[in-house]
This record gives sequence, structure tokens and C-alpha cells, in this order.
Amino acid sequence: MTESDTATAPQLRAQVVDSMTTLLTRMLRPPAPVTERTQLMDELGLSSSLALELLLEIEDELEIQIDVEDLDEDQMTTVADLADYITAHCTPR
Amino acid sequence: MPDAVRIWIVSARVSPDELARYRALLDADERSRAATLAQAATRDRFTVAHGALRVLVGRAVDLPPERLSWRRGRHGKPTLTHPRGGPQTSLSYSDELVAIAVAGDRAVGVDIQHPTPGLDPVALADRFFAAEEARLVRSGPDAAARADRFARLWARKEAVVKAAGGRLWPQLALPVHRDDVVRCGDPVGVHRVTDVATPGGYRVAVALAGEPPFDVATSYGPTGWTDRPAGTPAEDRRTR
Repeated sequence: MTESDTATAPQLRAQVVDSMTTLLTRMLRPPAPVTERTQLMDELGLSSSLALELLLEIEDELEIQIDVEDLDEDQMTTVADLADYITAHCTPR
Repeated sequence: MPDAVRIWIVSARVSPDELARYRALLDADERSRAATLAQAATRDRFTVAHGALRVLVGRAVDLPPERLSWRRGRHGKPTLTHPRGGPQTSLSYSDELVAIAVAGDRAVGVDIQHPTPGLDPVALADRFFAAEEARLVRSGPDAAARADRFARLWARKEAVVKAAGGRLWPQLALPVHRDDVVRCGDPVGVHRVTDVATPGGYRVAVALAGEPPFDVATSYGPTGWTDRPAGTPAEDRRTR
């Protein structure tokens, strides 16, 4: 990892978290605020088709492409888990 | 005689009494998973889905529903562990309906999809589906047709991946439009998938492991099986 990568990764991750919490709030209108600890499927009941829409909207908003090849349910347990995955598996568009 | 799979399409909206009866059938893990869900409607749908699954499988194996147990494998695929050697089962829910499949020895996957308002089926298919299927979704004559085509393809992909016990995400481009026989890459295997006629704009697909054709018998309505949706037969049996 280069010096500039280490500087931008946390920044990108923060943008992903911001974008994801806003989108999830809009899509699912949960009764409690969405945080990094919010569980996507177990707590919000996020379906796979809405998860797909979520990924697409994050891609459009942040102008990135997410590589879904390695994505697994374990990596989308919480908002933080999915933000970690996206940060590590995306390229700028 | 071909293998058979039974499908039940059940309303997730039930009376408070029915909900309480379903809740009483759930085990500690299911109750705890239901309690974790933030929204009441999602929580109740989970309770109805798992309660109805217990009622139907209990009936099939002649055991009280609360005595059944499942183990969730990798990628969430459930296997009936009590009784051992019992039928293969699969469960799916979307919006206000629940789909339950009970098959024999062949691994089964069922999926139900309600076209979600706000979803952009053309953009999703362009980004994640293979080119031919993206073209198919895009060429739908109107917004409803495009959403329906997307929901059908999505249900077929999910049904196959669920039967295979695999991961959905690497297999979004799995071609499922033309052929009912689908070759999955991870885990490697051949599955047969078919659409299940469902009312109300929903799309349901069921897949079994292996290539041989199978019969599908579908029932609509709650586990009492009386108030089926208007205009649908109580049972739709077809041989493939």
C-alpha cells in the first residue's frame, strides 16, 4: 500500500459509511438510527435485491466500481463490515 | 415417476391470534432472530414464515411442528436435522408473501420476489447481469414489464444458488433465462429451475439439484389453506 493509499482509504471508508447509512435510512425507514454497528440482514431485514440496489447506488454516488466476486454474507453482517469490504474491493470509475 | 416438489405460497399478514400460534412453534434461536429485527412487519413476517414452515414440514413427516430442527450451513442453507433423513426444505419471503418448498432427496431452493418500487431494474441488470439478460430486461415494453423480467431472472438465480448452497454475489451473471438446466460454478453442479405461477405480480422460482425433470404442486393460502388469492386455483399442478 502506498502512502497516498493509506491517506485515502479511511476517507473513502467514511464516505461509504455516510452514503450507506443515508441510503439504508431512505430505503428501509428503520425505527432507530443506522450506525456502523447496525446489522444489515438480521436487524434491518435487508433483502438481497435491496442489497444489490444499495451497492449500485453507492457506486453511482461515490463514482467507484465494487468487485462483488469475493462478497459473502459474512462480509455484510453490519454496516461496518460491508464498508470494510467495499473500501478494500473497489476501483475508481 | 418424476420427483415432486410441493410449494406453498402463504400470506405474511395474519391475525394476532395466528401470529401468536406461529410464535409458539419457534425454537429459541428463531425467536431471538425474530426479536432482533427492528421493524414489526419484518419481525412478524419472519415469525409467520418459520412457523408455517414448521407446520407444513411437521405435517409431511408426521411430527409436531415444534419438535423439528434445522441447522444452518455455510451461506445460510438450512438442513433439517430432526428428523434425520427428512425432506429437503427451502423458505423465502418478499413483501407480503412467503414461499415454502418441501422436496424429497434432491436439494431444493425456492425464491419469491415482489418487484420493489424504487428499484431500477434496467440499471441493476446492466451492471450485474450477463449482456443477454440485461438486454432482455431493457427491452421490456414498459416499466412494469421491465420490473417483472428483472424479478423473474432474480428469483431463478436465487433459487439455483439456494439449492446449490452457494454464494449469490459471484453468480449474479449466471445465465438463467433460456434454459431450465443451469450449471452453477461455485459449488460446481447442475440444477433444474422452473417458474412457479404466483398471483399479485410476484415471481417465484424453484430449483432442484440435478438435471432430471420434476413435478411442482403449488398451494396458495395460509396454513389453514382457505383464503386463496382471488382468481387463482387452489392447486396448480403441472408436469414438466
